[in-house]
Amino acid sequence: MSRMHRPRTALSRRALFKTLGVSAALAPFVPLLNASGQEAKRPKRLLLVFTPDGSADSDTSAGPIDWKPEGTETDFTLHEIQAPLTPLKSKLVVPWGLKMSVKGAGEQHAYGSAGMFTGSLLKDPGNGADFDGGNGHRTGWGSGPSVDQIVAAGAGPDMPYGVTPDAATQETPYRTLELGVQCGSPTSVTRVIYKADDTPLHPETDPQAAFDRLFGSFMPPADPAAAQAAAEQKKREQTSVLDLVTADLKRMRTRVSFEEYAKIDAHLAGIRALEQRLDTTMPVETSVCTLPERPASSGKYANNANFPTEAAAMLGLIPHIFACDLTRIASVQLSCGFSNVTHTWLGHTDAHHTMSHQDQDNRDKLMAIDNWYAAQLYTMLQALDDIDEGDGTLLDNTLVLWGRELGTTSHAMQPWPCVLIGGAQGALRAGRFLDVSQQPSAKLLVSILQMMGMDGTTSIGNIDTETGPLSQLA
Amino acid sequence: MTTKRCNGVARALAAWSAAGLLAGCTGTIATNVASDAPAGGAPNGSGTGGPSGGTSPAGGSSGTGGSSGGAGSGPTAADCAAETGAALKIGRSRLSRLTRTQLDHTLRDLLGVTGSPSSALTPDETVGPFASNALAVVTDLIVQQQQEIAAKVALDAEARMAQIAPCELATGDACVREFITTFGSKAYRRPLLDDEISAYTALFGVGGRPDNGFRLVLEAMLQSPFFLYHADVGPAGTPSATPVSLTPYELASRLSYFLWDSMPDQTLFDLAAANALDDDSTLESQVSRMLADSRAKDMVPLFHLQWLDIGPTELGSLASAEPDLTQAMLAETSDFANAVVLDGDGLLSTLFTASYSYPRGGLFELYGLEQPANFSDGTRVMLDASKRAGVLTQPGFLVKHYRGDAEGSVVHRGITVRENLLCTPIDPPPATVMATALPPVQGTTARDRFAAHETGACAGCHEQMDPIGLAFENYDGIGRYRTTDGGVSIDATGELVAAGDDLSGSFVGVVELGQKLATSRTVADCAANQWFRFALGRIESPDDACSLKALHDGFAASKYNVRELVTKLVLSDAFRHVRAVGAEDTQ
Repeated sequence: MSRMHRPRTALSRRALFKTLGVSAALAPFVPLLNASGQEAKRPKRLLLVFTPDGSADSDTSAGPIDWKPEGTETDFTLHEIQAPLTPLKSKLVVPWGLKMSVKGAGEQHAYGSAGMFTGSLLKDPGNGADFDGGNGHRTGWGSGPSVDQIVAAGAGPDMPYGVTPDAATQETPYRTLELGVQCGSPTSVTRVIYKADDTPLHPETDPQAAFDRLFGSFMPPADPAAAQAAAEQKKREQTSVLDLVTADLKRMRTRVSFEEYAKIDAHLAGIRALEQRLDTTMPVETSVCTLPERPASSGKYANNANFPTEAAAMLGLIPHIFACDLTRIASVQLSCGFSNVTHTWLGHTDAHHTMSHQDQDNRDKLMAIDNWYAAQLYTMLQALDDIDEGDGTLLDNTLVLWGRELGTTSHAMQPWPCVLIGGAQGALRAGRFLDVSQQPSAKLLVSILQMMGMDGTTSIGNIDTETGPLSQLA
Repeated sequence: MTTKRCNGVARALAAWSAAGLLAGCTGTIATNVASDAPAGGAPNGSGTGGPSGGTSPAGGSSGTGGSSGGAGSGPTAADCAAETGAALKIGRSRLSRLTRTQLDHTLRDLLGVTGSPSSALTPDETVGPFASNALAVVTDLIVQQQQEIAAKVALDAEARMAQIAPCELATGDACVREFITTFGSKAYRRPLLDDEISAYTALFGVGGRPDNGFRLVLEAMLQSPFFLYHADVGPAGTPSATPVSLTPYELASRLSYFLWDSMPDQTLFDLAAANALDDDSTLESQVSRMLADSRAKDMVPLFHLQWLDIGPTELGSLASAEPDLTQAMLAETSDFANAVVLDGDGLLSTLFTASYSYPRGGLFELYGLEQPANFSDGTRVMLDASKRAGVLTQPGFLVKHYRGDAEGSVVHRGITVRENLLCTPIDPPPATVMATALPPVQGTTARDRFAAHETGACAGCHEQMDPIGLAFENYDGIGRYRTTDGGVSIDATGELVAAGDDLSGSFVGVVELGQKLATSRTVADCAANQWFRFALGRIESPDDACSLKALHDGFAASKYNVRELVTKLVLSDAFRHVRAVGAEDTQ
């Protein structure tokens, strides 16, 4: 089935819009052409994927399962928990045996969530943040940026972005996008992406809201001239609205305690991001940049039965987001630590996390969950690989890290079940299984920073510092 | 300060499972490596899996919570009498963003918006068990979600422009200015400044047409921080490190967001404009008026569902499998709380002892009752008084704190009683404990399987929760009454261990538990503290000790009437003042 869903021939009514010619305000956003109209190098992309809990362990005397791939470095078989990725085996690396560089307040679900992508401590309660980090352990927030946000803050010739985030003109409408499905209320066990110390980023969890925000402006007007006038009016209006809100925020800043400046400043930054977007022309549908189906709304409260549909919808947006260059750095968080999702579609009657600690041997069910997540991921990855970009595919220009907040369901933090997929434009030497037993996962994160173009970076986070990269990856 | 410890078992980073199942509870106890709670107690947000909604008592000086039965080491009357004027102390208030329900209710009262626009917003943070966006900074996503909500609401409101604007906007500048001045003062919950009126007038002009101008003004107002945040600082307009009185408008908003979960109405605005709100008799009469208003019926369930940690977001997998039944459970506890607190005797004890409830739909079957002919929802129904007593035997509570198996439920129901109703936090389990469940075995009950907790390292904490949870064993996973478990008769004997003089001791079943809770000063003081947290969106600090003492004493004097408690809370120094700078926090 690998090539059956290639979207390049999609020519919808909207795609025709491009051929009609559009005026300046609606000019096609053509990131893939450089200033002289030559086809430029395709951008590098980074995607983090989170799925919950560790690999199936057992609390019985049966002992833990060993999901280590069988075979040699280049000739290996994936374990059941990753088996659905087998068709893409030549485009992935399984670094087996990493010891998670995570630590801090709370218990493993909490500091695993805060540390897995950051290499940084989960902090004790303080600075106002103080909530249940699992089992009554109180925690604050994490203490450092996640690898995606580090890449997003930088710029360079071999990085996803050529200009820094404060540049007046941005290359994409969104510097990063955080998406998720049924991720719970904000606490240290439900957030995995951090912009900085104490600054978790919440995922958008309604697929329809994400679609409307990202693709809503694609809708083609029947009359381009009228559309241009409307677009200019809209920009004028929105600029005026946001100017007024900005003035109010600045006035409020003079009225609040210095301890609250961070809140006002974060709000001002959010308004600036909206303003910047007014100057970024939205993409126009092409044979590569196609519109996804508009998903159903997830509604106000998480509905367990809709989890598979929402997961498919969110993951399904990613290839379109990257192909249309809406952002080059994204994350998708499926559920969260302490996952309450009951995989009824797999015949389960107890929630994922509940089953991970029952005395009966649930390994088969837990592995079925892991396998299911891998299958969801595979569908998205294959869609990335079905989009041609230059000599390769979109997947070849992308680096995907799939991680989880625990090593095993019994809270061992080694071996960390993670997979790297894609190519990062040749930076990832794929098709390999590496035994990197007991090496700190911070090394893998450093390698990711280097593969994304931050060559000189040798350290991440505040737990295992100055580790350098994972040398076996090279 | 340190948090209360159970029998010296140190808090530690633990390899422990959320299910709280400690059959294999052995092993060494690590030294304490996690930090203690900060001054002012520690909110314990409602997490996604662990025991949630727990709360810890305020600092030692406040004498709240704990198992001291309220006697504690709090300030004396003389202490508090001296603490007036310049010596007044209250805890710090944070700049906080409207919660989801506050946004919905405000848009309803401001613009007649129906439905739940806040569905599009990232979920709220919690302070204690209660929603309050006082901690984390906003993210770009939240700012954009607020922008999208504002744009949609404003666009929808265009059709109602004639009803919303006080005059015909097409007639020109005078009307535009009148609209901006009157509507803006409601959206900002205070009169607009001249600069603000000018800015909005200019924005109206950008629209080109009256309907466009109207829409843009609304869009901006609904994104303004003066709409989105509670930013109380007092009349000087700058933050103070010592307590100052709220401005009349700030007080009106604090009152309305507490009692209605929404913006002030015209009566409150008028009182604020006349600077006639901040005296005891006016506040008392406003509380009476507001509790009689239908908007109070939004607030009372909001408090009780969060207090009991029965949030609508997670009623286990039941919410997906049986959405109607789940809604019926939430409606039952909501109707019950409204009936007792607003329309009934108002007594805290009734919440734990009433043998009636307000079932609807599938709940009749669950209670083993026939739905009466011509039954209308919200009608009182008498239940079997030997099996049902107040909120703790209502399916909403029983289901929410069920954990997929009997063992988890014993622990979690016990923890919720301890933490949410007694304000006694339970420490997490010691390090190296590997929690595992005991499989249900035919011929054994949860009580048999829980014997493992009664010895060794586990006992110190588990004796505080398990014996409470075991008393709930008469109720199954969806709240039905049962008398056997695993084929064996259930022994619903429970015990409150180390819970103070007025609570400690054994009892049988939740009906008797409710009777004990109903007469306990510890429970009453804890309930008062929970109302304080709910009203102010913050955890009490040691600086609030005298406000809390007045609250506790007033509640006791009223024989624990919740309406009186609410009134006393509004009259308290902590409610009527603000301290916006935290540097002066006492430790």
